[in-house]
Amino acid sequence: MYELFFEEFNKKVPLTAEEQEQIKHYLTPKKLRRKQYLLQEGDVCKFIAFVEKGALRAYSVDENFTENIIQFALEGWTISDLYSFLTGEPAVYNIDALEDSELVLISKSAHEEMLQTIPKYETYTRLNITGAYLAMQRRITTIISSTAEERYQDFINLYPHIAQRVPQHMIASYIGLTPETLSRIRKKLSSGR
Amino acid sequence: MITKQTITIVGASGSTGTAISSSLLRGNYRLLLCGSDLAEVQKVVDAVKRHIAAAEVEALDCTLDACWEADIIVLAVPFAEVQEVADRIREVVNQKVVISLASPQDNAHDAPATGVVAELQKLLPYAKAVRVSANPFTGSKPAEAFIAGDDAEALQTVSELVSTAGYRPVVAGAGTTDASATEGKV
Repeated sequence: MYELFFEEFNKKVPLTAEEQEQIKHYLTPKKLRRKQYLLQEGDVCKFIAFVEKGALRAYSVDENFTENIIQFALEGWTISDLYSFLTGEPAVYNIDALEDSELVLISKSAHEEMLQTIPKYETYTRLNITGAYLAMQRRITTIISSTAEERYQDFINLYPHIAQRVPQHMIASYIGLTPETLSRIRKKLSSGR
Repeated sequence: MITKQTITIVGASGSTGTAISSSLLRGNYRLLLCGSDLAEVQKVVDAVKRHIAAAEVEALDCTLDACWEADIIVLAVPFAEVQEVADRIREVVNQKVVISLASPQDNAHDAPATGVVAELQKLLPYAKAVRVSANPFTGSKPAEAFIAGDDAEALQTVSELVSTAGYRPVVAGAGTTDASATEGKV
């Protein structure tokens, strides 16, 4: 139920058995079925979700009802609308399950209490946010300075495991292409091999 | 709330299950119903769906899985059975709101002296225990439902749920003194 969560936690900040037990009491185990929402736009995001099993995505919907995916989360990853979680403002993203999933949720109150009482949780949070910031910088750089083909190649090289589990139109959305453009790029790449 | 919440009702067979399910389906909830006899629980699902065709309600034979999926858990079982249910679901209800509908008045022989919430909290130390007792005898319309518990956020969640079900929520204070909730001393 929490195996992967603590495996990842221990990679970043090693915990004693006692600390692990203390943290476990703050965690909420949650199963989500495919296509169910963890969060819908307009609600306040009350959780940070860690994926033990399955796959989720976060996306916004524009005025033409087009879904724009900003993040995927597979096993070992964390997903949330962090702005809404931290400020209490309504979420601008939807988060739903792409597969039947098992999650470990950390509520706002649990998060704040652990930050106050468990120094290693604060370190873990800092490392997570630093990692997310670096990933976001890299993603912005790719989007503003790479060609469509480079963006796709970059995605496949960085996240080969996501490419195998997620439909092509979602990958197109994530890298800011139309499905038709992505299809052309894929055709070109496969004929060039 | 826009995001649909999942509520698991343990002990959902019979007229009690039908009544609770029908009233909760007025809100933005998806219901998972569990009971000792799955065929009986399925009858409740069928009855509810006859009235509300689009209702998201499902019978599950595994209480552990149903509570794992749930955001909120309702224990519609007599207090004598709460311990057995608590033993089964303990590992999946951490930080979740768990509501007991057990009434010491109705089950005087097995009612704990310290109060249902305090006992439930002891059995599920990392859940947010709340007790709800409806009092249809106050003459007030809508009828009042007394809510007892120690966690402010959980009391707020349950107040909203009780309002959806058509009752007027009356928060009766901390769970450790929830005898007052039974007696309507608020």
